[in-house]
Amino acid sequence: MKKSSIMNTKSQSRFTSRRSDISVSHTHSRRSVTLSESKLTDGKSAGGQRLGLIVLDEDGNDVTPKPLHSYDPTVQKSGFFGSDNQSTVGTPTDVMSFTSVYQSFAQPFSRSIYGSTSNRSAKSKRSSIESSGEITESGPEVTTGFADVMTVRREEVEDLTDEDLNKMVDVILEETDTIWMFEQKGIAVSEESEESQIIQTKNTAYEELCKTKEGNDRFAERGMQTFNFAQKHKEIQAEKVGLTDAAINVTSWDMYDTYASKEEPPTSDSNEGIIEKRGRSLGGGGERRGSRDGSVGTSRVTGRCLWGGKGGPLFLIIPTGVNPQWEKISNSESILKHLVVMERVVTENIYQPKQATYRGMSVLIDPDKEMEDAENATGGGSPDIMTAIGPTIDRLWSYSSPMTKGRNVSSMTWNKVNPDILAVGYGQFGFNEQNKNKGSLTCCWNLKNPEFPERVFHSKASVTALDFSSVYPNLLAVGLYDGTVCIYNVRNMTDQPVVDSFDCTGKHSSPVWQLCWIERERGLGEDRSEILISISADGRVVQWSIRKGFECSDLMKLKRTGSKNPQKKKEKAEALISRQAPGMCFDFHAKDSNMYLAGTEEGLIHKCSCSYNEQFLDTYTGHTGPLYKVRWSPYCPDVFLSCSSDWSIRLWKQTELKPVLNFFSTTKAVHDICWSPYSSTVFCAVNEGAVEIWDLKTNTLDPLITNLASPGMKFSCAIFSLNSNSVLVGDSDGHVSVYQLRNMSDKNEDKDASALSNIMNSTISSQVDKNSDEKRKE
Amino acid sequence: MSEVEETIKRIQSHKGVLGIIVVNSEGIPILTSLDNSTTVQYAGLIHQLTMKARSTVRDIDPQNDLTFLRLRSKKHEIMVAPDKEYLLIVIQNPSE
Repeated sequence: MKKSSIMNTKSQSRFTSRRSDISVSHTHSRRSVTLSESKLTDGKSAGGQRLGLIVLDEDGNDVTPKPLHSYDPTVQKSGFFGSDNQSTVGTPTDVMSFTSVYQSFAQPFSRSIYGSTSNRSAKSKRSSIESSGEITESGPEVTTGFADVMTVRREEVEDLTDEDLNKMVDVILEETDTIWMFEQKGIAVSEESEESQIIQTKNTAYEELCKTKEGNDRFAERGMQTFNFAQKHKEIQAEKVGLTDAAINVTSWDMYDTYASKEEPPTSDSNEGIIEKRGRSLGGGGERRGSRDGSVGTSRVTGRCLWGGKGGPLFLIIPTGVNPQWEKISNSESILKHLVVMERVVTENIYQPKQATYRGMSVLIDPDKEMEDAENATGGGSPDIMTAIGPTIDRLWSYSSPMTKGRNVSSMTWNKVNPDILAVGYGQFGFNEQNKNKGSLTCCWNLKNPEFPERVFHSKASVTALDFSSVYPNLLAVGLYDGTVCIYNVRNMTDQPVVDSFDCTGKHSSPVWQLCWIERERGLGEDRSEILISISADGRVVQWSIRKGFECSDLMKLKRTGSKNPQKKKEKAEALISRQAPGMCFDFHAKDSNMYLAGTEEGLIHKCSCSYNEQFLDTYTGHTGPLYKVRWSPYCPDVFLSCSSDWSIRLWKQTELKPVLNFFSTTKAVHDICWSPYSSTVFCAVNEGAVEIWDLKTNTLDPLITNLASPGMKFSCAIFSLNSNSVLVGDSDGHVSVYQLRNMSDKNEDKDASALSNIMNSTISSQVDKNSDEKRKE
Repeated sequence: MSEVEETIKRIQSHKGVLGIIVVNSEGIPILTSLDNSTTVQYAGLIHQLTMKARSTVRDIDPQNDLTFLRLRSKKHEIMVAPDKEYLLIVIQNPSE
C-alpha cells in the first residue's frame, strides 16, 4: 500500500514563490545527491502560475517535468510525509522545500513511496508545521490527485446479441513494432576495436584513483541506512488452466467442399470452415471400437430371421437397437440403386465366363482357382476337340427365376436400342390352358442379371405378342389372349400400362397373335412416326396410334378364300362361322413399309398393302395348316420363310406363288422360325421337341444342328441374338436358354445375299425343268 | 416386404455370397448377415479403407468421387458401394 505521493504545486504556489530563494539555496546540495544535472531556477520568471519551479538544463531548455496526473483540490489525500525526512530535515523550511521538490518533480519511481501507515508521523509533522503559521494551510490543502488515478474507468458492458456471436469476426494478424523491454549493452569490449584504447586508459586511471583513495581529502565516508520492512507472505490460488489438444488434417477436397458450400464469398482465411468440419475428417474407426462393441453386443440377442428362397434358413440379423437408422436408410432412394449395382456385380462374378463367351471375349481365368481337367473346362476347351465335333450349340445360361417357373414362354423381343435387354412374355397358347387366376407375366431381362428380371409386368390374360418400339425405345407393346393391346413404359417400375385398349371400340375380340411397330414416313415436317400394327384371330389387321389416346383403325380384313383346289370337282358347301380368316402372323417388308405378308389359319399367305384394305395383292398357297410365323429374309428382299403346324417349313420367293423349297424334318408343329442376322443361309427353327439350326448352303434336306428338348419340356419360341452368335430359345417351363453357335462356317462369306439367291435360282431352275418335264409327260 | 429387403435377400442367395453388411457413416454396422465378431471387424476395417480410398480419389480431383470399390483376394472378393450416409459391403467367393 505504498502510494506514490505526487502533489501538484498549484496550491503551493504561494509559499513556494516566497520561499523559492531559500528553497533553492537549501536544496542545492541535496539536489546534487538526488537529482540529475538539471538545476533549479527561479520560478518567478514563469510568473508562478503553473509551477513553482522551472527546471532548465545546461543548454537552457525547459525540461520541467509535468505532473503525472491532474490535481483535484476536492480530494483528500492520506499521508504524505515519511520518516525519511526526519533525519535530514530539521526545519519547517526544509520540509517545505522537500514538499516543493516532491511536488514539482514528479518522478515517482525514484522516490520512496509513503503510504498511509506513516500517517502518525505525518500528523506530527503537520503539527510542527502548524507551529509556523505561514504554512498551516499547506496541510489540508495538500491533497493528492491520487484518487484520480485510482478511479477506474468503467467501460460500458454491452450485451452480446446472437448476431454478434454468429458474426464472422476477421482476425488479422500483423507484425507489431518491436518493443524494447530491456537492453543491456555488454561491458566487455574487444581488444581490437577502436574504443579499447580509450577504455584501457580509463581503466588504468580508475585503478590509480582507487589506490589513492585512502587518506585522500577528496573522498569522505558516509553511512547510509536502508529500511528493511517487515515482509508478509501472501498466497493466491487460481483455477487450473484447462488445456485441450486440437489437431486437424486438411485435405484439398475438404477445402473444395467448404468453398462449394459457403454462401458468402470466401475470405482470405480459408481455415475457418475447416474447423467446423473437424469431426468429419478425423477418422472415427479406431477410437469407437469400444462403444461399437457394446451396441452390437446388446442387440445380438434380438434379431430377426428371414427365410430365404432356396430352402435353407437365411439369418439376417438386424440389430433392433439401431433400427431407426436402418429404417431411414432403407427408405432412401440411393440404397436401392446401390443394391441393384451390387447385385449386378455379384452376378458378374458368377457369370463372367459365360458372359464373356457370349460377347466373344476371352474368358478371365482366376489364377487362384484350381485348374480343372481339359475335358471339363467350360468356355474354351481345346480347339482340336471342338472342331472334330463339328457345328454345335452350347448352352451358356438361361434366364429364369422362381416366379417364371412353370410358365410357357410365348414371345420374345429385343430392345431396339440396347441389345442386352430382352422382353419375354409368358402365356399359354391353348384355350384350355388359360388360367385366369394365375395371371400372366411380361418380364424385361437384362444380360447383366440372368437370375432376376429387371421389370415385371402382370396382366390377367396370357401374353401372346410383344414388341419394342424403335422411336421410343422404352415403350413395349403387349398383346394379350383376350385381344387387349397394352403399352408399357419400361422406364417406370410400376406395373400399370401406359395405355390399354380396353376402352377402344375397334379392339380385337380374339387373341392378338402378333404385334409390330412400323415406322412410317409421314407428312412434311414431322419426325419419324410409328404406328403399331396387330393381327389377331378375329381376322383383322389393325393399326393403332397413340397420338390422341389410343385409336385404332382397320388395315385389312382377312377374308376367307375358299380353298381353290383344282382337283376337286365340286365345291363343298362349308358352314362358316365367320367370313374372316383368323390371322396368325404377319411381317412387313424391310424396304417397303407399305407391303406386308399375313399368314392365316387356313394355311394361306396373303401379300397385302396398306393402301388397299379390301383386296390382297397375292396369295401364296402351300401350307396345309395354320401358319405360325412368316419372316422376310434380312439379306434377300424377295425371299421369305414360313412355318406352320403342318410340320413343315417353306421357303418362298415373292414372285412365285408356290414354295421354292420345303423342309420336312420333324413330325411336330413348328412353332417359330428366325433368320440369322449373320448369315444369309442360316435360320433357326423351333418345334415342340427340338431346336434346329439349318444352313442351306450345306444341306437343304436336314438341319445342321439339332438340339433335342429334355423330356417334359417343349420349346416354344426362338430369337437370334443381335450382338452375339447365339440363339435364345424359350420353352414351356419358363426358361429362356441362351445357346451359342459354335464351329459354324466362316461368317464373312455369308453376309451377302448371293449365296441364298444362288441356291434359290438353282432350285427354281431345277423346278422349272421338272415342271416342264411333267408337262411334257402330260 | 419392401423392395430393398427383397433385393438384399436375393443378393444373399446368389452363389458364393458369404455375407452382406450395411454400415452407417460412423462405422457402426446396422444390418448384417454374419456373426457379431466378424461383422465388427469387417465394418471397422472396411470403413477406414473406404474413407482412405475416397480421400485419395478426391485429393487428385475434388470434383470426382468414389462410386464403387472392389477388393479381390485369394479367398474371396469384397465389394463396397459407398454413399454419404452408409456403406454397403458384400463378401463373395467367386470361384466356387
